[in-house]
Amino acid sequence: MYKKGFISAYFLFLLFIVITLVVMISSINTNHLKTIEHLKIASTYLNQEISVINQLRCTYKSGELISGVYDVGDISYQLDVYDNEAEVTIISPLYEHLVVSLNPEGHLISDYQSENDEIIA
Amino acid sequence: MPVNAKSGFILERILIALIIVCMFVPICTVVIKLLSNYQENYQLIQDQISIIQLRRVLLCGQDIEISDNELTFNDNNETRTLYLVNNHLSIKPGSLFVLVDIDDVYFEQDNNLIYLNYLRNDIWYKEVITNV
Repeated sequence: MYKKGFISAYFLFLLFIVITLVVMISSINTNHLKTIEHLKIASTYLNQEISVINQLRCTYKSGELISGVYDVGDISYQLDVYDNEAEVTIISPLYEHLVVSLNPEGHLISDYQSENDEIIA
Repeated sequence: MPVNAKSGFILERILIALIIVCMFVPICTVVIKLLSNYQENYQLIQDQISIIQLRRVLLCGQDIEISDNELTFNDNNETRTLYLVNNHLSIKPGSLFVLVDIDDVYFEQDNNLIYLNYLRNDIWYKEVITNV
């Protein structure tokens, strides 16, 4: 018996499977790329935080922190010092706001919280 | 002599099927290769996320010292240790797992940078985690 459309049905079935796999792989790759992109952004923010916090730590260990605008490398930031806390607003290259907890006993930086404008989509 | 209506019938279908298979083989090969690497790539990305978190933790740490396979630091007057337990790199006290399913780990200092070396699937990875 001649089955009309026999090959077409198989072909469509295979095509459907292949298209599904390709879409799945494409989706996985897109997610990987997005994650890598977000990692890159997070690393950039972290690197500027490290530079600023290290400079603050050195300054704080050698004396008192004084409010003002400072530079470290290519990073500019505004420092506002309060009792046991300091607020750092990184102006460039990427805007970021840090709230730094200070330990006046040992002149140490005990913790910090960061806020930035980055929206992870 | 009557001509067979189905002459070359099977050959024709086999040829078409072969063409279709030949079209899909390269695609399927790529798909299988990508799927087999998926877990490895996923783990590497997870490692990078963990390394960034570890850098944040160590940024506020004081008195960082390393031995061969342990790193100790002071966090708000509490001594904490980064070490390998049950194939997980974790921070004690507490149960914060930094890297999971790794085979070995050691720390080293080069100039003022501290490196974390970890072995996963017979491959050694080296990452800067903090400076001293």
